[in-house]
Amino acid sequence: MAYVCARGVRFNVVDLPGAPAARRREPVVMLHGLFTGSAASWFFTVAPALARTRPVRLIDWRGHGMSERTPTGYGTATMVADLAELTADLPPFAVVGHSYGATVGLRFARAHPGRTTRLALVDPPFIRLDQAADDLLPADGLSARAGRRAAALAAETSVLADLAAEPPVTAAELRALAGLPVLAVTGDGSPFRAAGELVGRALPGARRHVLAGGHDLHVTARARLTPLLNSFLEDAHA
Amino acid sequence: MTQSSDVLGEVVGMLVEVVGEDFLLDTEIGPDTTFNDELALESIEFVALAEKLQDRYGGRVDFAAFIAGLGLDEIMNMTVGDLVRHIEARLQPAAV
Repeated sequence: MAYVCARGVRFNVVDLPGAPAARRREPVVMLHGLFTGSAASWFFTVAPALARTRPVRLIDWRGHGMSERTPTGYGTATMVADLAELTADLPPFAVVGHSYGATVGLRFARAHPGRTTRLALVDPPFIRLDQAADDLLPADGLSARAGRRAAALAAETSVLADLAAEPPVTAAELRALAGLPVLAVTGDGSPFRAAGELVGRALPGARRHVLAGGHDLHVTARARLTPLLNSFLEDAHA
Repeated sequence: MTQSSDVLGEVVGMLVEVVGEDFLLDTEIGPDTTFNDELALESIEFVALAEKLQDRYGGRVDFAAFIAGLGLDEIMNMTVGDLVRHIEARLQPAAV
């Protein structure tokens, strides 16, 4: 684990260096969702398979995992700036984002076009982002400590207000990505499944897949999601 | 046999660092201790443990790849002894 201080905040950054032959290839940065997400969301699901052929970097967003919980700063503008700092040492890289991580990844790609080589959106909550907290806040089934941590984030920081104030992702915003390879994978039972259609309308060239499952496809549909992401990333080297 | 107790001792030491001694006051960690039920290890703490294993054993013990080969149930039910056995197997010199 490496703690990195960026913009006055302590972040946890996890690098999977991969096999020696993989280390000089284009990296992929994987971004988790809010509340219950952390670097572990990818570390225990898709990341090890991707790390066989490329370097993988996982970060804990502020307020998540082992990164510092700041009272404010959970809007995409702040988190895009966080991401830029936490990846400044990398060559241009692919981005894989789940949930709110997909939203931040999209806005990072727009703000830093030369830094992003491709963008994979895993069940992006582009539709009704302002109400997304209802669907993202954890329900049952979490360990007591993880549940308390997510509840404390919601209660003690501006995260819910930041989400409510976040401008939704528009078709125009997506169209501005034209030229960037984009993959969108949505769950057929996800509250955000319409986001895939929005991506398809705005970016007809985007690759789209709908998998059986809900919002947490990296957990429940790992076996199908992993090869989709892998082949999308491998095209970069074709 | 010496190697076995060494690996167990090292893993226990790493767990104490990751979880914190205060939390472990009432818990004696042994081979049968489960990560999920008894240690209530959060997934991000598992990542921290994996990184400590990487620092200690290098590429010989690829915990992320080990985990990737397991189902969620297996991960949830994993014991300290399961992990120690995996490490020991990877540390065995290759047969000639």
